[in-house]
Amino acid sequence: MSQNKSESPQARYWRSLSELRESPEFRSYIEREFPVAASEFPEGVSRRRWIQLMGASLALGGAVGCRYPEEKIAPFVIRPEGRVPGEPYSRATNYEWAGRVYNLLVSCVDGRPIKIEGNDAHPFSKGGTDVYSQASILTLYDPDRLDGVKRFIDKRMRPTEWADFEGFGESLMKRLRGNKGRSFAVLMEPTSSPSMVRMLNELTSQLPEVTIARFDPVRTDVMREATQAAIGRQGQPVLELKEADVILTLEADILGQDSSMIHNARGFVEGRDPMARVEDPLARAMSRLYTVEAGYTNTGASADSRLSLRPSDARKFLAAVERAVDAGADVSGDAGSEEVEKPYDLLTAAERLERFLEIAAADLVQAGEKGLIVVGEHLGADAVATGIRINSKLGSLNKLVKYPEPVDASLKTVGLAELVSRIESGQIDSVFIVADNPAFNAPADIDLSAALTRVTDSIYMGLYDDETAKLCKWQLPAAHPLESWGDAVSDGGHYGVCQPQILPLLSGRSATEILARMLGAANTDGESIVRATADAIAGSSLSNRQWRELLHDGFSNGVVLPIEDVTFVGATEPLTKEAPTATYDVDQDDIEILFKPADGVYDGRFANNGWLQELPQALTKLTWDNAALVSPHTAEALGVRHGTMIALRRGETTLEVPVYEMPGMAQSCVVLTFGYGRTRAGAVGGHGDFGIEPVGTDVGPLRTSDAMLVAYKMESRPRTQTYDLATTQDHWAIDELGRQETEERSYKLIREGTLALLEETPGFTEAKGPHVPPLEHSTLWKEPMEKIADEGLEFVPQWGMSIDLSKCTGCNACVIACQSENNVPIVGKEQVANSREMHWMRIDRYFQGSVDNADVVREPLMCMHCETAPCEQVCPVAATVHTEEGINAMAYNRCIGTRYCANNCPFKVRRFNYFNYNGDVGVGYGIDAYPSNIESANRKLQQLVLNPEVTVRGRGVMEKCTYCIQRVEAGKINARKEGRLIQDGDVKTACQTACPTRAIEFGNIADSTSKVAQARIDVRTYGMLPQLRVKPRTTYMSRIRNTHPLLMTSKQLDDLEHLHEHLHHHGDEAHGDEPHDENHGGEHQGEASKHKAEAGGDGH
Amino acid sequence: MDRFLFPRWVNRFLTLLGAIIAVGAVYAGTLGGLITDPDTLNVGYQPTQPVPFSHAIHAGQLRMDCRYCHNTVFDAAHAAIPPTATCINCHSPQTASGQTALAAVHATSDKLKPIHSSWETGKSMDWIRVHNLPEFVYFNHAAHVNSGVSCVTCHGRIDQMEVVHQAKQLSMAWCIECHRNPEPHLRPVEFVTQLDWERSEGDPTGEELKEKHHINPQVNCAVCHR
Repeated sequence: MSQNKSESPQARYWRSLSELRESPEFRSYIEREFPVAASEFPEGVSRRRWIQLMGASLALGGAVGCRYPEEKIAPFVIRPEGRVPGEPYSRATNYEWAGRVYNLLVSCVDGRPIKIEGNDAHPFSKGGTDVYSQASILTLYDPDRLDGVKRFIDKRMRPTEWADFEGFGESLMKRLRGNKGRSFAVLMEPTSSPSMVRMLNELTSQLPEVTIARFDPVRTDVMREATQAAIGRQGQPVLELKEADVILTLEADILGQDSSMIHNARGFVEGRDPMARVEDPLARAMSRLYTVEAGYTNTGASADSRLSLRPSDARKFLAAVERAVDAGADVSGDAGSEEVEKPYDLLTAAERLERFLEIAAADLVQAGEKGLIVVGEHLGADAVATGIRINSKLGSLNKLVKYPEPVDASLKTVGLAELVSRIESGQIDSVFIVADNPAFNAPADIDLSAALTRVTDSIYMGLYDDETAKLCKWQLPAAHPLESWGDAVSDGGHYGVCQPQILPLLSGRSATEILARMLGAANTDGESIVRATADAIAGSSLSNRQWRELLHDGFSNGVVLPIEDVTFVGATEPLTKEAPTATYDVDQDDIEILFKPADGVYDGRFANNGWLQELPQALTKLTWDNAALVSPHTAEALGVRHGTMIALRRGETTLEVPVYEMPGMAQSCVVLTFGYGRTRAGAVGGHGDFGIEPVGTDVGPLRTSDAMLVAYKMESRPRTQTYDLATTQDHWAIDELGRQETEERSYKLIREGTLALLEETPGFTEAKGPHVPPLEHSTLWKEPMEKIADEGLEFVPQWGMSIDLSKCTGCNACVIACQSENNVPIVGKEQVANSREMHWMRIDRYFQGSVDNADVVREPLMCMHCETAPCEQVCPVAATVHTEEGINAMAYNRCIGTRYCANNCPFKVRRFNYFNYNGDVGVGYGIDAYPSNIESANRKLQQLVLNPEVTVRGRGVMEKCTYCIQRVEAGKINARKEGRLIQDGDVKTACQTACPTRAIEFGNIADSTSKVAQARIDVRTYGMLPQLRVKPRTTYMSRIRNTHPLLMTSKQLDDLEHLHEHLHHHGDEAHGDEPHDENHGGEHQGEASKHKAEAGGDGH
Repeated sequence: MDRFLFPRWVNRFLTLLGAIIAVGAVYAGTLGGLITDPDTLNVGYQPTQPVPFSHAIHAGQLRMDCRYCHNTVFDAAHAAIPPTATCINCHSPQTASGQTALAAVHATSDKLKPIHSSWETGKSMDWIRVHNLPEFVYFNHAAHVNSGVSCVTCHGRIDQMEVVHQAKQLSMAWCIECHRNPEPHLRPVEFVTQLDWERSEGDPTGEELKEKHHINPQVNCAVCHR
């Protein structure tokens, strides 16, 4: 490892701190293929827990006998028109879920939704999806959902009927009409559903004094307050990033947690074609993204330049940007004089801040109306308003950012605090809650739980019997959006109908249906409620034809809410006059905490969704847990380490959380994700009644109403206990450390460069790769691919994939899409800690630079489908073989589980079923362990999520990405049905369709007109580990950062200076197959110095 | 300690042991080689259906096309078993008042009772599956019939079967035989459901059809196993 140390950390890529520090743990990951013995079974309490998790899935039991068991075929009595049994069909729908509006196509088989896809035709989201929408289908089949109306009678909750509630609702309304609704309150979340708003308006007209409280635990009301102050009305920002030249974000995760993430991500990459200028010098260059943030987000990782600043400094930074904009800052004069200065990464924190501010502000000013500043809610309403003011000054307001009015802006609402005080004053004695679990997410200083126990009639409508449901007298099962009528307006203004794909599985109803019944409306069925709303929005009654068209397409250009232009009318005094400082010294009594929703479980509402719990979170790669993210320097200063506990205190409240050291974060700053620590989520997410421990830590006690998003002046103390965090960051590490000889060559698994480098040296991607001399002899045997030409099968498609790293924002949508499509099981925290996660697809995260100022590059990785696949050569039973179409196929029935293939895979993409994750645990323990038949029938619900086109694998079987072979075969068969050859676009993999930025292309690489073939001849394309000559079918396009020259790191500057395309060709004659000598110094000089050194004949 | 040696009296069991081994070999050979052979096990499987539907009458005598009932065969993996409504097209039951539709065939037949009760109650018929492949085989009817592989190739002369039985092995070895050598089984797509079709003078040969339609039945695992 010695030469590793000699290499400058700035030039190396590292996956984690333990790799950078070369900890023993990391070495053990590298040295042992399977870090723990295969036979180790989870022990003790955790074993039971693990079994409970597994109970969430089940495979079909097969009887043993000579013949297959007798099977019955039960055809329809009358088959619906157009229905083809066993064939998938898709239907458009739109729904709001996790605060985002999705425009989707739902794939169903035999009336059962099995997969979520984006609606490609939709003008706003353009077919993108994200993790929440992809995983929403698992929630549909969650057996822990509330399965019927329940009422609190005789000291406990008892099941009852909807009719019972309807009777109660009628009498309640009769009573309320007497006092004009003064004693009644509705507690809701922000909604994008015009039907819901219409119902609530109807309620207000019947009960004029009703209290409508709105509570948003994730974003709070910051944006509404800011827009009210700045533009005179409420507004929800919609960014047109495609048109922007310079984007500066301050604590705004526009590519991550933002509610318009799908739209933003697509617009962002559309404005960033790195090749545009290479091909046409006059074309518009790619946009430039500057990010200022405390934690590390997807936006920061996608940024061209990133500065870590804690929130209080970010506010001052914003003020400084405004001063620069007012002054019309100009950097062009300074540029020349600063050329001799140090590269960005070698500066101190204070110098970095100064240079970043100067250049970002100047760039923004220069961009003028093509410049956009985005300020996140975490910095406060006044800062957000300042952002709007700056955009107004730049001229980009209404052009790059528009402010449609939120759908629910017309409702007169109060906050949660006001609701609680009205309950406590005795004014309100009945509450109807249509928000998702507010008792869990309510600010710590507002005792909603106590207030709810005071009211006489509390009605909760939700998906689960959760923390809030427990406090209420009535529990009403909410229908999942896949099983109910509804509607939602996307941020772009398009009205979309949510149409049910299946009848309610657990007798749920939608909020609008319940309200309509309570209000005594003439039409109480979901469809007519929604249709009436659609008529109102369209301005005239929609004809049946128009209505069906709206349902079929998922949107209609005739049913759109207009977005009105806004003008800045707010105050003009600056946010602050203080200059920003880059705090490097850590004061343990002045810590700032940012609260962020979790990548997977959001605000906790998806805690019982196993896919989302096990999702490796975007940058931490943490599963089944939350942690206090702190920078390594801050951790050291606070006396804590990765995996120890930290105590965070504010006033009386102390919270202990495990520490996760995150490179590149701002100092004196902690990021906490909320949504964990649920005590009544279910069998997966934790449930006190059944002895299932919560997952993660509830950070709620620190979130008070004045600190829902960010808390200042927190105290921090170290604790000595340790805690095991299950991360996937070091798992499946490509074994580079093991190969000392090729270390220097293979570390370039990931290739990136700056736009300047691309323009100067278009072929830099190839030049950055290892030197692979041409083979002088032919191989002994014919590769499967070579036979194609011999046999005259040129019409056979050759499948391949291309992934553009410049487009990948690391959002994880592909990971969940793959899990959903391919029946990938969840394995639980303990198994993840044992490196046994089953995701076929992972997103590798590499840091570059120092721990204080680290850049991140992500690389989605799945089976490369090598043409000369190493796994195939070691399989003793030929269970993994090549198809004529270049797919490395798995025959599960042949696999005997030797795991040789996983051992021999250079990319570490094979996954082994250590247990019967889908089968006997579910059957043997999970289901039979539940006493009643109803329980077992419910457990079987989960089985419905499995894709019938994909085998459910059992224990002892190896599996991996198949390029969605079921979709490939379906594409071929569809082409056959139409009597034509397969065309580009016939086959789309699950990861490809899920991607909001279209970073993944898949298709026939033998067809030179296909998109994937076009991508593969791009100058940025490279294959991983070319020196192994495995000829991967998946290739990558290098990541291009459009970094300002003065913000370039030493590595980037070095590349620019030394890297030339022709580097590799100089020595072909000299050292054909000779291995490179790696042990010379100055490795950080990259390829350039290496070759120089060789030319000089260094002696070892 | 001395080495343990078998005492001499054990020798008389040697013959017995030999006999057991010989019988065992025959038994294992029969079981493994003959009894569990797909020919023995699967061919001729003929379960009794809830309604004694005769393909010989409908498809043979009346010459109804296969697709009248199995209408999804060109579009889907499954050649769907028809809904009860399809039977009712001809076999509508007597109404409550004893009225019979003019075109109704056997409106009062006892054998059609299950069909009529399915129609009246809205409950599905429970047909018993004859041709059954393992769960890990993803056979697709549309892929085959659209390539010009006739029903008869896998199902035999259904139009002559009073009660349907499995005519062919439907084992993997049997599938691969045709995938390796498809030409004899190819015919123009329009004759796929004509079970008694025979290639005559002027009809395209299998080789020609294979060439023309780029038919390339693969034998790699992924074609059928996913």
